[in-house]
Amino acid sequence: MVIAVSMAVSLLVSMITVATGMRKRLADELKVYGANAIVSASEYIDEAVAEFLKKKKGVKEVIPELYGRLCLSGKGQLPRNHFILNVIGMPSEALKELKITGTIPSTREVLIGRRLKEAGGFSQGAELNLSEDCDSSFMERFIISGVFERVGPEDSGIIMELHRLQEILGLRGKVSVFLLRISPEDFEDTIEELKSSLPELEIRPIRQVALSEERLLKKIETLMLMVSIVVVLASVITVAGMMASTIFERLVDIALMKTMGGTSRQIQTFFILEVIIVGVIGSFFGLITGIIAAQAITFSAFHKTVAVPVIVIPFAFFTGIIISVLSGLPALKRVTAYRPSIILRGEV
Amino acid sequence: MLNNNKVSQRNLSPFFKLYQIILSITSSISNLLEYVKIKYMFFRVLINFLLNEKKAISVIFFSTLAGTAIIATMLSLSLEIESKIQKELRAFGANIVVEPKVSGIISLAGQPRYLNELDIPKIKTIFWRHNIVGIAPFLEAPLEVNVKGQGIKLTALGTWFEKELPLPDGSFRAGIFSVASWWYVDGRIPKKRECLIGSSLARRLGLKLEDKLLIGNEEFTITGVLSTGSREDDMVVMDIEELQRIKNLPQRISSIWISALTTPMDAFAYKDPSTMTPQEYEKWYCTGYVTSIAKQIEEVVRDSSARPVWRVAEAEGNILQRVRLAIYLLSVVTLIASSLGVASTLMTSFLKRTREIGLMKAMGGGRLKISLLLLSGIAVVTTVSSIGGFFLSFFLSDFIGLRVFGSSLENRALLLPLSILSGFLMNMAGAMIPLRNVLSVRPAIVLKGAE
Repeated sequence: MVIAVSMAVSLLVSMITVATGMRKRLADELKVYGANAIVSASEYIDEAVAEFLKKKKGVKEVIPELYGRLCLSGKGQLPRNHFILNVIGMPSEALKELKITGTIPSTREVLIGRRLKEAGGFSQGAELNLSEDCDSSFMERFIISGVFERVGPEDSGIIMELHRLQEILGLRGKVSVFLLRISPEDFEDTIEELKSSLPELEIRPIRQVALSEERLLKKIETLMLMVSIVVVLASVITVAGMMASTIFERLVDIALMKTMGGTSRQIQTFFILEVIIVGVIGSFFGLITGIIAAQAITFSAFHKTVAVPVIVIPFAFFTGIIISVLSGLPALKRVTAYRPSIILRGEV
Repeated sequence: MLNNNKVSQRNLSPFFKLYQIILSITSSISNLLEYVKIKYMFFRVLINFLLNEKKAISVIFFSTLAGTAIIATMLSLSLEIESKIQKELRAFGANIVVEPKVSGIISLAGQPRYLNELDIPKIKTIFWRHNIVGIAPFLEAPLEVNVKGQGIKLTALGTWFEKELPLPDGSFRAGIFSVASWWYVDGRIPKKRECLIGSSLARRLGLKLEDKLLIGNEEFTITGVLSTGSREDDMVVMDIEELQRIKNLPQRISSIWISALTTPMDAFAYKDPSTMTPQEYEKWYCTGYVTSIAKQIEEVVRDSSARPVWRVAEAEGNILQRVRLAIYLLSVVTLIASSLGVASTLMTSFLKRTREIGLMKAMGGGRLKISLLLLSGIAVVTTVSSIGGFFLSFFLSDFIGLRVFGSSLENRALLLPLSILSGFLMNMAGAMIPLRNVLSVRPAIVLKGAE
């Protein structure tokens, strides 16, 4: 009986823990979707704002980007021997996250967009002469370290290291935007808070990312909830079956109690007390095994442990007792209704 | 003929199927029982177990039923979760972008290149046309606008808002919201001589609803403020026809966004098509990978280059894989828990039979024979109940499917052997310890009644 109850409780506990932990774990996982909010201004923003942004609750990642234009010079295929390129400056941590073929650019290197590569026939290792504007005679030579693809107009431009671009453009310490990764759990609150604390900047959710994250999380959450309901229902059936069979096995005890003058009510109270004790002990073991199972599952699926919500503990005992009483009661009712003489004669 | 059969089978209610199966099983079993009971000792013992141990059997039956039903449900769920969730998310945004093909750096500079709007309906004629769930073209062009007497240079974007695309077989609802449902318009959709204004631009220029923009010598009314969180927030957006007219670029478009339902990318899909053998290429071409659909689109849209939007597709795949793993592991936990339940039941059931077993031993029954006898009883129960569990999983997966995805899950016949297998796994594992205990009884002691 104890095993039956602890089985049900442990299933319940592990389901609840996994399901509640799922949202947090997935929210971390969704990082690959990219930034879900953008901070911009009509002019450039001071790079130091990043420190302020990072301290805000819910902000997981802050990536500065600087947008500008550079003049690409070269003889031959270029019209009028030069060509204006859009360029994005990114800090080296962000460069590592890009999907590129080739290597991460150092300060003397750049990444080129797929469309630019296809159009210009540039290859990895080739040189580009870049300057701040086409009339200036001062040019810097960069080597193409790889090709990136973001699918969009950026693909016709180049990407280089942020500080390098700031130097070339004479915009030391300035960036165009901050891309924010805000954890989906407190997305709305964080956006509102940022808006009120930085009124001079424009803070916008990147709706494509923010909304699809929310949808995906909601779906998976409902899914886990449904799965838990089904599992709990099924395990209650099993426990009820086991309870009933154990109580039937004690028919003789019950009959004896009855012949000795015990009323049905007294016997039922006695058994219910016993069932409650079974429920408590079962819940205790179920709680422990359930937590272990939940940790094992979350760890192997997400490589992280899961915080056990405190509410699970009283909940486990509560359901453990309820399950055992509810599943024991019908059998008990039937059993106490038998006449002792029949039982003791061995006719049931 | 074959098709008809399939349809009628699918129409049968699962209840009826279950009833039929139980009926045929019970009648054939009872006939068989009578025959073998007389003939073989083995079956006599087996049948007596099945008839006399009703309580243990019903417990095993129900726990196996519940256990296998859960496992079959979880399995069908994990098999379909990817395509189901992908479908939901796909309705959400474009995963293929078509742009003009570029060759020579001159194609990026100077005169921009365009695609032809007349090629768009052809996208709904490719092999995977039914998988195309959203299409919207864009025309992006610089525009000089007069706002409150001030000339400003802006970028204008033209697109379809609501467009009924005529096709040979009916029509298709295309438009921006079929590929970018995250576009949020505060106001209403613009018609002729009307436009939307991006939220950043509106803020910067201090523009609001019903304000007028002077483009050339035409007056445009702002009917809404557009928020996307992306480049469009800095643009003026209008119907593509209007922009084509203003810029004198009839039927010209600069890109097309397409939302397609795709087969998740596997190792094969990442292979470079140019290095494939003809057979491999055919397989790749005829599988609905995002890359092969893009390739087919490229073939029908003149001078185009169609690219999958990788980031989104890959992120989803990764996440769904993890969710699937979690569901698998939860099924394993269920399996273990159920077999523990079975173990505890069998413990009591076997203990009651120690005398019987002692007798068998005394009469020279080997461990193997006795185990076989005991386990075969459980095997019969397991088979029946796991078949029941398989059918029960129909209801469970419908329950989950309808609530989570709004459509029921496909029940696969493949799951029947899997549920029987898991039932056996669960019960045989559960029987091991009780069996070991009961086999170690010493006949003399048991029969004397001391144990």
